[in-house]
Amino acid sequence: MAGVIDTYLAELDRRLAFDPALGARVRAEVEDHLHLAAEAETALPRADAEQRAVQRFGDANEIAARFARDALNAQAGRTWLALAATAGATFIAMRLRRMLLDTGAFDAVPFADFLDRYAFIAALVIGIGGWLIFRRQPHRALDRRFLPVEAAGTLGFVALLFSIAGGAVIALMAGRQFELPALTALLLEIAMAGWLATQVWRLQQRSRAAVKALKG
Amino acid sequence: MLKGHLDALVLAALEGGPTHGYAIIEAIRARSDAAFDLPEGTIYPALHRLEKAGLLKSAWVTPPSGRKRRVYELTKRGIDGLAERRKAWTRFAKAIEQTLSGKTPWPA
Repeated sequence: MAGVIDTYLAELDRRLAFDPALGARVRAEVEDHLHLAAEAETALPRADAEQRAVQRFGDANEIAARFARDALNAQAGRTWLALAATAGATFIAMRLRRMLLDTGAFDAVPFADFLDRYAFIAALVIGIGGWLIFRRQPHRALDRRFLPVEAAGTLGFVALLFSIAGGAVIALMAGRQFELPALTALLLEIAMAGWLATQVWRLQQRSRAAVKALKG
Repeated sequence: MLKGHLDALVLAALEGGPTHGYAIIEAIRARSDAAFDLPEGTIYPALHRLEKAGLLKSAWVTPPSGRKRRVYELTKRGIDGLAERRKAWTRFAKAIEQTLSGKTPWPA
């Protein structure tokens, strides 16, 4: 029959299932802690000592929620960084296209030029708006706390994709003028957009898994 | 009441040298004359957060019990961070003390 500590560790494991690596480390640390605490209760029988150690340690769900909040805050930070960096790369690529390509390339596809510019502006507005909402509500419940980051990350990513697509069409229209600097900038935009998509996806996955593990 | 000060308490508990989570919580309890008898599990999210911030470093050791044990240690940044938190706390405590003591007259 499993002891009180084993049962508690299994519960903590289940609650930390959103991050298996973190769960494994926390489990090992907590296991040692609880056994040390139980061993210190020399006046009590072992089962009572374990029970007391677990009681003093606190609710497994509450502890897992603290870890989840910290992990999701860190992931949200990476997502904001990716969004800002992708917007920065997109802006640099836009400026390079303006500097390097003939105006004829822009005039040939006015819709692409419009898309390149205004989709970028839309991404900036979405990003800044999402960030402000996120900053203003630091104590929201875990299942709603990271929604502004997910929404801004996803919408910002889509807007930047439109901007990149517009830029790519303009660059293709420029034909042979489209040389190394402009090509490098376009590839950098695409790579950054891929990084942003990965960060948003990770945040969504971790957030869903954390909420599920903590409610389960 | 402890919210916001747990990090400083953890850093202070590690000032004496590397140690593990259970010893840290015991040190906090002993130094505060059991006034800070917080749920012991709250220490681990704080330890992980401080480590990620570069204020602590940690390593696994295997004591004679055979159970793996994570031992934490202050980094240079952690030592500096503790000094800053001490200064901030001293200023804050002095201001509260002056306000509550009633020795300084209220402005007319």
